[in-house]
Amino acid sequence: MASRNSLQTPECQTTYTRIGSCFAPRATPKSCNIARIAPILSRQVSGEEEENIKALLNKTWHVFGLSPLYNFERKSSAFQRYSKSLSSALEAESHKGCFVDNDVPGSVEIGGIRGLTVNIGDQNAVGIFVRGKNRKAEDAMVYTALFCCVNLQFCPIPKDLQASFKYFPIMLASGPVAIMNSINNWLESQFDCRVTKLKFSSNDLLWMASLWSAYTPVPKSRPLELVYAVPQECEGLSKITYRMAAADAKRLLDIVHPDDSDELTEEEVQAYFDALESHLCYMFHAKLGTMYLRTVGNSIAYVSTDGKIKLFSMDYVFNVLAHLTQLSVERFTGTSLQTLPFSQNE
Amino acid sequence: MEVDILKRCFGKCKTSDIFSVLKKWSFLSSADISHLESAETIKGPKRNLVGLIADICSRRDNFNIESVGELDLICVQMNPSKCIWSCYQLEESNDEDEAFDPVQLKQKLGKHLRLCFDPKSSVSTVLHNGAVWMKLYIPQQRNQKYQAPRSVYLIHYLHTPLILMTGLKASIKEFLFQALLNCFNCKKLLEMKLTGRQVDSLKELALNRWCQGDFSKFRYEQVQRRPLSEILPRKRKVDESEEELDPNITCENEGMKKRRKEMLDKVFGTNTQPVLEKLDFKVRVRYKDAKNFGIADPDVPFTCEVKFEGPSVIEGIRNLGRCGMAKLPLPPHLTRITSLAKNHFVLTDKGELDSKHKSK
Repeated sequence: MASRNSLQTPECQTTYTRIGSCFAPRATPKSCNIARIAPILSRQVSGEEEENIKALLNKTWHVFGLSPLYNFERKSSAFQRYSKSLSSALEAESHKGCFVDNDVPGSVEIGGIRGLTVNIGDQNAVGIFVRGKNRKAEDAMVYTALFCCVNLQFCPIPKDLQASFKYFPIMLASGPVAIMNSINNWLESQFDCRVTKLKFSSNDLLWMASLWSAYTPVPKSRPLELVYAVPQECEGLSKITYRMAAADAKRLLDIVHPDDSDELTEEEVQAYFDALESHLCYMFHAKLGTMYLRTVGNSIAYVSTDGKIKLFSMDYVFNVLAHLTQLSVERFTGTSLQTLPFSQNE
Repeated sequence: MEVDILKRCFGKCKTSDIFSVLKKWSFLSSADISHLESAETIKGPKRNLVGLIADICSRRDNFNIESVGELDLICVQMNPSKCIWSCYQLEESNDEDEAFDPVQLKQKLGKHLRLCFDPKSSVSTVLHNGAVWMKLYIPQQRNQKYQAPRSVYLIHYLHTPLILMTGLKASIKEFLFQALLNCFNCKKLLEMKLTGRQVDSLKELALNRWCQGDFSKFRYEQVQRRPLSEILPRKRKVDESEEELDPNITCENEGMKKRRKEMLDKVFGTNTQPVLEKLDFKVRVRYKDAKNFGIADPDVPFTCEVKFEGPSVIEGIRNLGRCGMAKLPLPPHLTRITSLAKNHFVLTDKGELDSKHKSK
């Protein structure tokens, strides 16, 4: 089997080692389950719940990590109170002139969203919807945010505090950055929490790409896409986009990963990327191992290092969300503090 | 509509550029321009100045869509990199004396255009840097308003078969090509699969394809003003920065660096490479050593698409080799881009290509 060592001629090893991915401390556990996660009591997915899941698809979401929310209540009266408070906060901001030349927020609606949980311990999702005027002064939905908690394996809040804290590891938000910032500020002051952009390292992307390739490709599905950023000392070239047909990517994965196992191990992920990159090296002699992996995507989802995600597949929404939840919890509990998102290393 | 186009053109320029554009346009008399320059408006916002210019222009009789088109062309000439240009090649020309006069060309092309499209279609031409720049505007029959996407910019280099064209709608493509063929008296308009933003580089690539790479130094010698004097090759920035390093630092692998540089200079030459923003490869090749690797159906090729993007890709690929991010020697489809004069490629295995030819 072609290993990375065979690709790197000795001359290159003195100058470069793989950046931020294979030799970096692990951010993800040694292996991951690739079995499909179905929604809770999957036979009873109601129409409304299906709509809620569908609303997640084909949109670009910014992923944020949330720390536990203090004194967050799940009552409709509380939701009404929050929406009033948030709309007045937004109005104050727009008086300050924060939303000039942009979408202007108007009414706010906060409420629970059903159908986005997979096990009993998961909190039901909560959504923030802001209607307002868009650039053409038409009435439109200008901002959406969802607090999710999908397949949470372990709750990091100590037992005695669990009554006063609610934990949603991830928040998906879509809308203009100005509104996003003011809502994040409001959340931080209202619930005494911290909202941070969930940035992914190259290593995280490596894992996601491999996990999602493992799901059998539908014929004619989107190709596996890897976007590599070329380091700055190589002037003139900024990125290399590498797309491989989904079926061919699966053929490569089948070699490194035996069919009967549901676990994908780190060695397999590494071998899979070695195989992908060595094919490009064979075609163009370029060593992708020396570059940064910026974006990965296939028919399940597109993810980039700056914490943006786009979901495509209804069937695997929960797998993706569960993976994000897991990453966010890891960041929150600090089990993987040593791996910073690589964009900060530049 | 004319005023609308005029405002649009000036909207794209900087305020400081407006007067130089006006002088180049030579539609307004110098008296008008000096009147504008002295006016109070020059201190005010750009909108007022443009409004004043529009006022003066619309009072003229010969202020029509063609003369505004010339203004638009001058604005495009100032920033040609705002459009994406694709190269086309005229083939099998029958006519020895093509129309080199821009006015003649304008009338000829206008005649052919009006045959195929709306009679209100217009052509404007400006001569610039040895090339005729043309703007074709093909309105939709029902629509009275100006629609920017329905205009096409063309650059034709005189005495060469090269035409650069901005993106155009598929619906008008066929007829427009026919009109161009009739106008230039040719039988074929060949798409060269070469696109980019830098007009000069595209021209360089398309016209001088056999003296690129290492040979380019001979051509630059010719172009230089004093061809008989000794030629000092233009030094590349990189070399200078390397020389400036601290003398106490010695490079461990200097020999290898030198070897690499020699190999690259051999294929790319020492000059700065022409600028392209994108290289696009569609590849269908078998996996290397597929049988030993254990891939199912080793003979079935892998379908891939690889894109190289950046401010200057050919230069970037050379740097890739220089920085050790690529194995040397580079494959011919990366080193010979300049002489192939293409940036969209389809690569297949050698055997595959043969079998396709046989089946044909």
